[in-house]
Amino acid sequence: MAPPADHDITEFLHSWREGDEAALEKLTPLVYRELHRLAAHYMRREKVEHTLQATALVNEAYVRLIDWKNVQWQNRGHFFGVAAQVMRRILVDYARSRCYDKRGGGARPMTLDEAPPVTDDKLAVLLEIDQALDRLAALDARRAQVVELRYFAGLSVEETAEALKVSPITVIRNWNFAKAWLLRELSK
Amino acid sequence: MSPERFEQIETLYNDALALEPNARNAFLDRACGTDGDLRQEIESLLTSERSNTCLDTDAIQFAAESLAQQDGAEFMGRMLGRYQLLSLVGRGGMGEVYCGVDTRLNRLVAIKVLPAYMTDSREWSERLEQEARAVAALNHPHICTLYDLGNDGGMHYLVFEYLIGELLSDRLAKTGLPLPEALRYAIQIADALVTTHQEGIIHCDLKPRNIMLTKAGVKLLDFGIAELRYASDARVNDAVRDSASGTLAYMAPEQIERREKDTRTDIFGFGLVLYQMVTGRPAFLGNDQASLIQSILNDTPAPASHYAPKTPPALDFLLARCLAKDPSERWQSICDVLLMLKWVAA
Repeated sequence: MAPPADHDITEFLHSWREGDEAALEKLTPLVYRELHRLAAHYMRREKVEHTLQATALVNEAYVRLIDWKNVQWQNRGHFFGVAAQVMRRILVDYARSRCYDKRGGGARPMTLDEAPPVTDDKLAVLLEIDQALDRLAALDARRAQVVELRYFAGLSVEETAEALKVSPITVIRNWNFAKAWLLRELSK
Repeated sequence: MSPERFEQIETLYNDALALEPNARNAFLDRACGTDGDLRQEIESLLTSERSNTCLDTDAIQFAAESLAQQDGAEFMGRMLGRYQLLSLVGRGGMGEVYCGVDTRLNRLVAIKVLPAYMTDSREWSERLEQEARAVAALNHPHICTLYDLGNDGGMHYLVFEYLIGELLSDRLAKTGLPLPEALRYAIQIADALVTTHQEGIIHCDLKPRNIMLTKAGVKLLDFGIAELRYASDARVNDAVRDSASGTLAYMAPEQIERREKDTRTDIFGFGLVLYQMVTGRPAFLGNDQASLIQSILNDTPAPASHYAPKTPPALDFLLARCLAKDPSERWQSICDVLLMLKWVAA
């Protein structure tokens, strides 16, 4: 597949922000393909290989999805914010579809109706994080945004600081706190 | 909690975090004074893990790792025609279902790879093609659209609209449906059946597992494909297959007795789904295959109002007529069912 050009992705993000839900459908396959590319790597990965490479791959995936550095928006901060929301939506939808084993076009004919749905611990955690993040946002929107940018969009501390127009120190303090807060929620 | 309080907690938490663990108590003594709530709040935050937590791995990496561990991961990335398989989402007698990408149109699709026994004879692959063409022509907001039928190196596959939602069977296993919601879904299902019956297509496998609840309402899955399966896999032991598929509980008497099926078979199936949506339980139950078959052939289910007292009498009547053993005693057309349902729901 010829990947859509960067300006298309930017265009989709714009449309989605304007309320065009169909734009999300254009972005979803791109995220899924990056997911698959990463997953394929994890399957091949040998235990000795260290995490640095994994991190590089994840960064590469983000760059391929949305080339943060080269985005020409009048307001880069706003762009980061929209992209992070989109990533969150797509990944959470993915987790939800996997956790319930939902999909289009198919029954699960071999399993008994009474059989429990297939669940995946990791993805269930992703859904819990999403829900806990909603609760955090109700208390404090800024800290929730920090999590969205760092966790769902993979932004560094510096990029997050730029997006939110605050200092990196503030981001670190917000992030430390939000993380502790969310982890406490998850353990409840 | 006020923003100032939130701010205060964050500041003290970070300050405490920067200290050696054994210095934290003294710090909190000073900083919190007599404010016990504040101190408790910060202490409980300090007990959270701080390294290698689920939040220290980006969400996409987290999702990719789980994708790598899942069943069928070896097929990931494989191309079938112009479709790339991304993950296995279901496996069964009717084949395997994958989430994939249509690389030409850049959209997500659900791909069902059909088992060889359904496609290995020329007669069957022709019939499949014919049937698929009819189903693909169905255009209805409450039917999962069949986009394509393909054959890649002898592997036959069907390509469907990709849906995000929850299967009715999963929903019913978790919670019941409020009556208005059940009626709304039932109207959508009946509406979809009106269209397909007009096109001469019978579903023949209506059951909660073939119904997806999405944001856009109900979507019926596997339209017309069931019919093919019944006709095609005579070589597979029917009883074993049907009970294993969970289909047996949703069969009409004429299906069990292998008599002629027609649109009224779907009306029975519709009745079963509606009954379960309203009451939260299947109309027919059995401890084993034999008792289930006996029950479908002989038992009259208790009126829905017996389990769900809010059920209006008209709905009890509607259900009883859907679930008549003899097709000639059922509603003869899904159009009538739809009209009646709309009247009940109004």
